[in-house]
Amino acid sequence: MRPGPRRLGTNSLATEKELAAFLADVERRAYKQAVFAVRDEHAALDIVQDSMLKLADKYALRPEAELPLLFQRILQNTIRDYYRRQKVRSTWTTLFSSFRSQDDDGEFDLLETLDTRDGNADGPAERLERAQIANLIEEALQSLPGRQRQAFLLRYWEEFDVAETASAMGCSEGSVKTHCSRANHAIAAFLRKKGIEL
Amino acid sequence: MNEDDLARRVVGVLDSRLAELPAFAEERLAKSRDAALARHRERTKAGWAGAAADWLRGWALVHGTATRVAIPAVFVVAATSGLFYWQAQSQQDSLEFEAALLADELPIHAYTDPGFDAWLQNASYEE
Repeated sequence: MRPGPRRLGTNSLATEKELAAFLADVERRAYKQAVFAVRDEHAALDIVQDSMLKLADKYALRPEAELPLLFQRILQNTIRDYYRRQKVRSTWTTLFSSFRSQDDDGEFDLLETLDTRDGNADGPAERLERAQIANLIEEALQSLPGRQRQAFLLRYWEEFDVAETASAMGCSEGSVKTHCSRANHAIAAFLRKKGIEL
Repeated sequence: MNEDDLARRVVGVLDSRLAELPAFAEERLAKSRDAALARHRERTKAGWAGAAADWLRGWALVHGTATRVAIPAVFVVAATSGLFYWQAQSQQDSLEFEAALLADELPIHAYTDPGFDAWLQNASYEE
């Protein structure tokens, strides 16, 4: 089992080696969290990079034990900033697109919206089935409201306890429990609808 | 199946997918990590002032918005109290001086101070 945030138990300042180990441990999950949130791989990579740089720049001399919580706070804030920028951009885009000709609409390609990351179609049947289930689970997570997904991933994937999750999300412990419960029910319902029982 | 079981299985699937990240993502994550470590190296050279600033920032980030407001508020209250104290102290000194003047208990050097002499004449004129 992957060790959770509690493995970082020391209150001494994080050394470069400890920070390197922490980032190597968390970077892939952080990337996936960002992908689930913004649904854009390149934007997700930018978000993770910004979060890493902010952690190293502003909190370089914090104790090692605090890194997971600090990093999650930074990551969630950076995702929120991305949403804000997107909202402003889409407002301007909507404004200007009303002046554009109808011919521009023909540029949309449905194939571009398909996830082409999994190229395992020619593998064994079990592998294909696993990949399909994994895709559906990721789809289920992406379909969750942002706060539910955030609570679920912090609580179960990052293995934060309820208090740590509440602190990272800036909400009460009761809200965390509610978000997690709703997320679990929504994922189960989504998978049942697709004919999958885990 | 209870909620925790479902969550554990979902997380198991998510973990298994981490090994299948696209190459460009792996490469970019490694570069980002290296850049962060280089930044960390620069920051750790900043000394105790940097450490104090980091500590305050980290504490405020972990402990939420209320404390981010509370810390500056405490500084403002302390500064205001200090200002009032200083003003009250100045006024007290002035009153003590006036009282000493009226009671004719001035120190001898006050009479050799040209500024005091000028003030005395001016004060007499005003009266």
